[in-house]
Amino acid sequence: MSTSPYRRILDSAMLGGGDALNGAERLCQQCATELAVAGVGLTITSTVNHRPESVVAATEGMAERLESAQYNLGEGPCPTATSLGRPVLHPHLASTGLAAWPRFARVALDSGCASLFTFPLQVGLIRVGALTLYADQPRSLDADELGEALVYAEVALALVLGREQPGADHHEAAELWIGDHLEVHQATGMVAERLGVALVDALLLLRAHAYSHQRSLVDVARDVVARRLYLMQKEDG
Amino acid sequence: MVSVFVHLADTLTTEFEAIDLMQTLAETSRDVLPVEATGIALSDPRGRLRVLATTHPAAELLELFEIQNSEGPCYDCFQSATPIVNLSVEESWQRWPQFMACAADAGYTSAHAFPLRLRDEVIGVMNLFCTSSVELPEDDIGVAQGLCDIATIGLLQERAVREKHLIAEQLQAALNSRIQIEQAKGILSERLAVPLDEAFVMMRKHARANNLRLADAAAGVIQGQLVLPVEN
Repeated sequence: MSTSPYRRILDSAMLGGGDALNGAERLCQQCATELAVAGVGLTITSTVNHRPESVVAATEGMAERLESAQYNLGEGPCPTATSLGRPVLHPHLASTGLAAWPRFARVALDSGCASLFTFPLQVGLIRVGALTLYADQPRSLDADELGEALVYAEVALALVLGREQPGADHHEAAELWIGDHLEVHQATGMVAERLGVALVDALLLLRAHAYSHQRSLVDVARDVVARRLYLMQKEDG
Repeated sequence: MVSVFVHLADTLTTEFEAIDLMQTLAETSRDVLPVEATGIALSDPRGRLRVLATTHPAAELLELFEIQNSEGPCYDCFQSATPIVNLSVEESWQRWPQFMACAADAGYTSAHAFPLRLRDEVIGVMNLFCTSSVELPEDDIGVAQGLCDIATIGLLQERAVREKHLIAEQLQAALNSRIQIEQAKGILSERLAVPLDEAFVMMRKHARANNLRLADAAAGVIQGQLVLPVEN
């Protein structure tokens, strides 16, 4: 993972120091610059009904305004993306937005937003929020840009999860890339069931264990799946 | 043979999700072709192949192996956008030494790969694994590619073909559904004290019998609304 885009984006988000919140601000800024959009916002949603719970970070202006609008209206691309579990992409908001969100789209169009791209922060049924890119022109994302945006969402997820992990170095904890090893997700389910905790907490326990034992997440997951390792509620580490 | 295509096409007419379709493609191909296991991987926006459906856990391991090592029939098929079929055992070992070693460990002696193609773009690959090195007859090669083509059309749907963004949304949804299913497998396996593979089979059976999408059955398991009885 040494030269991965994930690592590069994470490192520059954390470069200015501070906690995960500062990192999230810088991530939005950097994402807006790199993908040449008017603004980027990051909102956490309820795990129960996917309503926006708090705006974690947003670039000034359009993104700030439209993240708040979703929070106030309870509708918009962010709750839609987290409830559907997939990106919500509107290259031409004027023609497709009003049907999807009558109130939010009106506010967005009035604010000069012409297209938007929302990426859920998710790992299977763990859905914690969404990252939204707002553009002031109708435009689309090509395959490279789409890939880039997805990595930004992955890093944003790591930062949001890192906030939940008191004591750990946010940066280093977030380096525990969840990745696409299926064992990690199987182990998450096993730990959740065994300890009677939510999937997100099970994933955090796995990460905390990996972090405190300086192992990769997938190695820890493999041990759990093979029943060589049983995690406890509280990780001493 | 026609009935196979009809069965697959049937899946397309009802509401389905990519993952259900890919699982059907994998199982149908295993059943009608002289192969022992199949697996399907789709390309994510960063061009990595990610496993979506398999008929057998060993195939799952192989797919993962390939993704990580950029070597094997799947990889070649993806790069060249053409089927990789009937390579001799010698040539296979020469071309993919690591892959073949891993395949041998899992009990497979040969493998073939077919592209899931949309015009010039390859969106994924179907991998076929055999426990003996029999050549796939010409007819079967046609059937395998035909099944892949039908599944691809279904996956992308007419609407999605016209709108590239819808394809991206759908593929991401499928990749996330896969993760959701793995989470549910973990939960069920722990809850019922059964192996992960068996947990998957139970979920798949239940989804089929009740006309549920696999991802929805998985969500039901995770949220505790779906209780599957242990069968004896």
